[in-house]
Amino acid sequence: MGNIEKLSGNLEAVKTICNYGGDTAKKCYQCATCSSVCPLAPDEAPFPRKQMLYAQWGLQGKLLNDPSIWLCHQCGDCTKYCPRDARPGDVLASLRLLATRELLPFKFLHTLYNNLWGLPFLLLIALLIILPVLFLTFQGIPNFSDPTVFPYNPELHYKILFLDLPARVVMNDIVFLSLAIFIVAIMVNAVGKLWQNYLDYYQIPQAYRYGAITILKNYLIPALKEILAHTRFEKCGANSWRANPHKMLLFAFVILFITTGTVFFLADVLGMHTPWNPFTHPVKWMGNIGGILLLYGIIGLITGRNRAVLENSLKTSYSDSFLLWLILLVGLTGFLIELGRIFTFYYNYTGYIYVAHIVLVFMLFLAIPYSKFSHLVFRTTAVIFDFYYKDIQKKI
Amino acid sequence: MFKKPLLVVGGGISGITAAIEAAEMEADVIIVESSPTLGGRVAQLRYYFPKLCPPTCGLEINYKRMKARGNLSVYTMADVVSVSGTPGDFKVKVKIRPRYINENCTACGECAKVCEGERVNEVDFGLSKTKAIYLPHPMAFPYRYVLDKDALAPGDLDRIMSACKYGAINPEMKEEEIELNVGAIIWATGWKLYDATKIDYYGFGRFANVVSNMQVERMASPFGPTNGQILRPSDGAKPKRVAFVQCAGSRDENHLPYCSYICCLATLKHTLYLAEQEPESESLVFYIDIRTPGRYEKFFKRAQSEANIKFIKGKVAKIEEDEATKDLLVTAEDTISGKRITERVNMVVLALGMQPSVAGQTIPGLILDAHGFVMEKEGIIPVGCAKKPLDVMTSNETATGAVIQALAYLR
Amino acid sequence: MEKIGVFICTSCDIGNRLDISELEATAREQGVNSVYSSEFLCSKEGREFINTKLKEEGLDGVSICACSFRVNYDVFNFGKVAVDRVNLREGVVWSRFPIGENGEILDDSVEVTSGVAFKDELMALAKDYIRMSVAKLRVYKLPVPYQPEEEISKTVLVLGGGVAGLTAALECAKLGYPVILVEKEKELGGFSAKLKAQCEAKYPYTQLVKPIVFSLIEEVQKNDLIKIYTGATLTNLSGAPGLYTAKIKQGPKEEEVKVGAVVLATGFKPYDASTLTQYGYGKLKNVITNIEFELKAAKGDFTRPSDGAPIKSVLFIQCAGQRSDEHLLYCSSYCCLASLKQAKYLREADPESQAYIVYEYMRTMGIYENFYKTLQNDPGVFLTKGKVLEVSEGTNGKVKVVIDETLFGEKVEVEVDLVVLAIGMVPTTKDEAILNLEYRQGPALPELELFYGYADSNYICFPYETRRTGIYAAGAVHQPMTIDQVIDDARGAALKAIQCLTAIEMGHAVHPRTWDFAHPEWDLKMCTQCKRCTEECPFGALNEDEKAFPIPFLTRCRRCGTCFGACPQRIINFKDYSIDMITSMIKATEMPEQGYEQYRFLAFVCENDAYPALDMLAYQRKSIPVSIRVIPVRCLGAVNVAFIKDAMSKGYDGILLFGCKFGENYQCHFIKGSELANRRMENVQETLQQLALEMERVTIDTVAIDEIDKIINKTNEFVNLIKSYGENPFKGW
Repeated sequence: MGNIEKLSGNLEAVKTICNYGGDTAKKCYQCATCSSVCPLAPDEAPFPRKQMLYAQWGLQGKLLNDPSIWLCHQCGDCTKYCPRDARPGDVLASLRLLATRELLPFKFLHTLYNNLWGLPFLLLIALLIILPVLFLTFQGIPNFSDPTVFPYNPELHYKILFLDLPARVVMNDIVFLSLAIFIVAIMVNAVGKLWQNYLDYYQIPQAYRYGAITILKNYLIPALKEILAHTRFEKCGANSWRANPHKMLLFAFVILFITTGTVFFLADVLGMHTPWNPFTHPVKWMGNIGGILLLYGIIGLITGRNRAVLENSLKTSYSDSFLLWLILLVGLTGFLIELGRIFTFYYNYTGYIYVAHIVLVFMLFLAIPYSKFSHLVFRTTAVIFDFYYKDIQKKI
Repeated sequence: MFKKPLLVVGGGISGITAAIEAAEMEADVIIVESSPTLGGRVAQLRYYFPKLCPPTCGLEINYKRMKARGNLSVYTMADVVSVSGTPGDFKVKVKIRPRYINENCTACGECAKVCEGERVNEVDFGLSKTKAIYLPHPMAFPYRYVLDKDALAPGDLDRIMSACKYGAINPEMKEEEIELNVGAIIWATGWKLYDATKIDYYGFGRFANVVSNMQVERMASPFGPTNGQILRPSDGAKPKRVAFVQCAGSRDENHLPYCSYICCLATLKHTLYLAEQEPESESLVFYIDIRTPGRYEKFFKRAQSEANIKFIKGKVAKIEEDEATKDLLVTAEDTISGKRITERVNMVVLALGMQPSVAGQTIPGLILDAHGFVMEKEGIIPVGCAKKPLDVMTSNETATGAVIQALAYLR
Repeated sequence: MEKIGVFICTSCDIGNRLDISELEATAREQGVNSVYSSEFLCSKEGREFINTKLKEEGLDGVSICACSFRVNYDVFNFGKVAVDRVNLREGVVWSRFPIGENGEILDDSVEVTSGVAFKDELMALAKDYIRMSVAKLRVYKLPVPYQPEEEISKTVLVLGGGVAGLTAALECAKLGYPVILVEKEKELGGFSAKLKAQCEAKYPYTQLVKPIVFSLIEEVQKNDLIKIYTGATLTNLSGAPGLYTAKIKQGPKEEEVKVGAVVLATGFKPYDASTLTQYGYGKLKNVITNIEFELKAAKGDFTRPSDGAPIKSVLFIQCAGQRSDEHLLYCSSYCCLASLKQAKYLREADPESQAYIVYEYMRTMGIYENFYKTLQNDPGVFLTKGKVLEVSEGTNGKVKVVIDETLFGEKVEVEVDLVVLAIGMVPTTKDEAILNLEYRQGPALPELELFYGYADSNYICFPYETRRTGIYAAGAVHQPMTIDQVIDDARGAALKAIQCLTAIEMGHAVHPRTWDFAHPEWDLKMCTQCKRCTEECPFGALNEDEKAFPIPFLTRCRRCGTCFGACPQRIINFKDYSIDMITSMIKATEMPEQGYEQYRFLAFVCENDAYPALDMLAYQRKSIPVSIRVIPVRCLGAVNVAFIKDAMSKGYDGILLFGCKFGENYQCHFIKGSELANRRMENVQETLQQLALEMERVTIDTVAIDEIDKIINKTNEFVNLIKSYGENPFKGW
């Protein structure tokens, strides 16, 4: 308390926050109802009252360096009880979006991801990257109405080193491996920045600033445990319904991630090529379970949200619905392709569906840094920091 | 000098003031009061802030001024149904509920002695019961009993009828509607306490020891349910540690969006009651802003020096009950330290806000604003807490001021 | 009164506990014309019965021996016939019981002293009351309303031409009362005419509007009942309500006008900011007061005083020199709204500008919360609770403000172009005697110090009750307030002013004794010029002539009887309340001989608080000692020492006085009644000691109307104490 903080209200920042859906922040008169009803806020550093004040003054710096905004799960209890109708839950959601933007390069992508008018451009980008690779690997424009030409072309093979890969696989590998590398690169960089901010914000003494390895070794596992168990989410009062579908969705992603990994190994490396029989093949089972969980979770979230909006405990921005529907469509197209081989009446359209699917998957991948999907990474970071901070608090 | 009488709706302190001030201008005045007695809210208070003097003192003077006036008449248990006509010539329909007691009543109390049926005493905000035949309170005006027929026990009617030597009980009385022709109307229907059960997270009604500020006022009153002692409802013990929840319902978009003006001062007064009763006791006041305008600041200082008060800037948003002790755990963020605290207290007092009595009603000829406060229009002048949230002194300024406006319409 | 009738009611337990025929006998012994008893006297039949007897026997005074005068006041009203109410119900049968060891009520037959049953004492009490009543009626005279010889002026003098003054003037004129409006400035309008804008004074309370004062000025100037004196002051106000002569000085010439009543609406002065050095005022050019900012804004000038650079940011410091022991102790009520308003000025002048407001408590009372909300929503308004620690020179002409106890949880420093201090109001009455009253007790309103110099009332129920009849304060000189309250307040003061004139016309007192047509009368032949009445009158109703004889001004008088109580010569009397009356009442009572352990006590109680308390005690069937006889008085100030002497020599063993609380939060509506009585009784107690009597035999105490248990305890303690001293040795002399 001894040191004096130089402050000045930032009108521009306030306006930006308002544009990102934080406009209600100004209504707050700091009664701190939110901080006391919040089921997730820790007693020693409760939120979101203070974050609301930062927002009102446009103190971006303070907001971006504050893990609290990521620890918030938008339960909506604060919003429900706020006497000024300042909707702290929604304000923090918009602050997270803002933080994401600040942390990443190529901000135009963030803009495209969080505005309806950006949607066509996103599709365009996806196609511009996917189609050339497709034409390249399929040696010209294939006949999309004939699945035996696209995507399941038995003739087209590529021998790379000891591998023997069908065109389809080569195409996907080129597109998604490079995309993955790009995403991992920028996210690692962003997380590094964020972590540094936290350390500085909490003035962690050098002695306690461990390296990445130690941090992950000590705190990643407990954090992941907690995230998978959704313990924080389940504390939510007003919007507790979200815990279960969100958990299922998370599981779905984990399972599908493993599935994709296995497929990559079995098919690309060991050459056991798909399509496999969906009824007999164990990997297929895994994939289908993942897919079903995904649909269950996403539909649960969409319907739940609509209900919550009616009850006014939650407000749904474009960024919210965009991601929900994107995930839903990815799931649906995925299944359509698979079922095409059982219900043959639309089997001939598989080619088109396949293109749609990979375009959607492409957009979903890119959404990890640039949409609210980023919480997958940043919230995890914040939770890890939370564990880390609590731990060293004891030591200091 | 004046052609038509003045109608004053509401017989609380504002209404009484307006009526007398007008009557002493030699105008004819009619008071229409909904309850069985004049006096309104102030008759329920033990003391006024900031002087800590009993409101009954002012009522006594006002009653005496009224009694000396032949030009002032009072209808109790009466409600205005509709207002029509024009300024200077209003037609006002008034519904009068039966009291079942006529002017023969000498208030000797023989009837109540033999009456077995009981009813909840709304004057004590449910903290006590009266007999089915009862005197509203010691400063009742008119000083006459009231019969609540529904509360009578079997056989009561015969018992009370034969107990009354003066033929004062008339169970056959019917509701009647009269029409008054008046030149102007002063609307002084005052306020009602906001319904605390609507603020679910405070547990009022669920937790025995969460009480309202007006209940504290009644307990502190020598004519109240506990003969002037502030006690925990759960076990009748004197609370040692009490939490006061400011803005309970007020300044809240989910309840009353405006500030109720008096709650901070009332709470400070209550901390002084506690200090007077139990010098060791501690008061925790959870507030957003302490609002003691003008000279009331002195009262704020007085409370700080005479009572043992801890002020916490942060609104209470969570109250839990300890099953065993019936103590309460009150949670808020202390916004100055930035920490979330939970305090154990013996009793919680909700500083409930005021809602206009007419809120939610539709009375043809009367315009209400979004909150239910009465809006002024030609010849119909709202005063006191029917106009906006106010303290007693300012209410009486509006009430007195309204008279000079009203008189212009009576000529 | 010549022909007196006594009517005894037998209902409400009176018949059950008292022997009516004995009471009748006692009444007859007093030599009255007739005595009747009947049940249910307050019934139509009862009232008819009395009426017929009145006519038949041409009675001019009746003693109604039934219930308290506080009930059935309308029933027992027989116009020109003098009525005295003997309180047998509340005063005797409902409040005097034989109490057992454990507080249980015993039978009336129990012995109180050897050979004396409680019933006997109860009867003795009832009989004494009847004797007193008859004695009272004998000397009672019907009040004659006071009518001044000079013609009453119906003109209202309004001091101050601001919102309050203008409103008051208009309202009086609307009802046909001529008004003289005196404004010391060259222009009408007062401070609010200098405002850029004001907060709207009606729902929804969210907007800024043109100050309403301008429309008021127009109306006032159009109204030919209102005579306006601008650039003028009141130099002298002599006379009394209804009969004032006001000297008004306008430029060189001085004019004398007749006025009836006064509305004091001279408003406020800004607090002297030069004392606010801790905020850099006077040191830093870019630190100004909210008043100065308002004037700048009104001119559309949003530049820094230091260098004329445009103001990009302003920080408002709330409560500057207010709510503080070094400066103003009170809150000025307007400043929070004013700063929000001025923040709006800045934001509207320059959308890129920033307005900071640092407050301890944001006080937007009532529905003005809406205005607070509107300003909160402005992205350029930055609010925080905080205490300003330091204001100092910042970089390039800016001002640096350090704030502690903020909502950020840390000390913060903000640099702004301009700091605005929200300073408070000081009532114009604080330092100058604006009224310049030609009163013996001084030119200004008394005891202003109680209210920080505001011309305020001490009574919550009665905001216009001050110690100078006919003078009513309104607006910012009355209490700290905002414009919307000023309007209501001004109307209120105006009403009280014309109401005072009505009272004078009717010949009755003003509040609180508006029912009282009697008034004190001086028999100056025996006056010793001791000045007690002129000095002690709480309302300054008396001046003195050069020989120090009192000059009463009855339209200033409130009929409290303080003068009556003060006068050692007993030359001040009311028609219906006189030395003769009370002494003969005391004499009329029956005093048992010494040695029979039958004590007698007399209690003088305040009519407005203690007496109703006794009634309420009776309604709860609680008990005070049967040996006490109660005489209600208009105020303890109206208890003349002669009463005490008479009572003591009559043989009363002790005398109790119950009055209202005195001291800082005094409750006496006659200001010092009980306090004066207290002082007088101290003298009496000295005399007692000289007579080798215990001083406690005369005891004064204060009770509020609701302090029933206190009365019970005090009376019992008193009675037991005196009994421990033994009987009054002068008994039976």
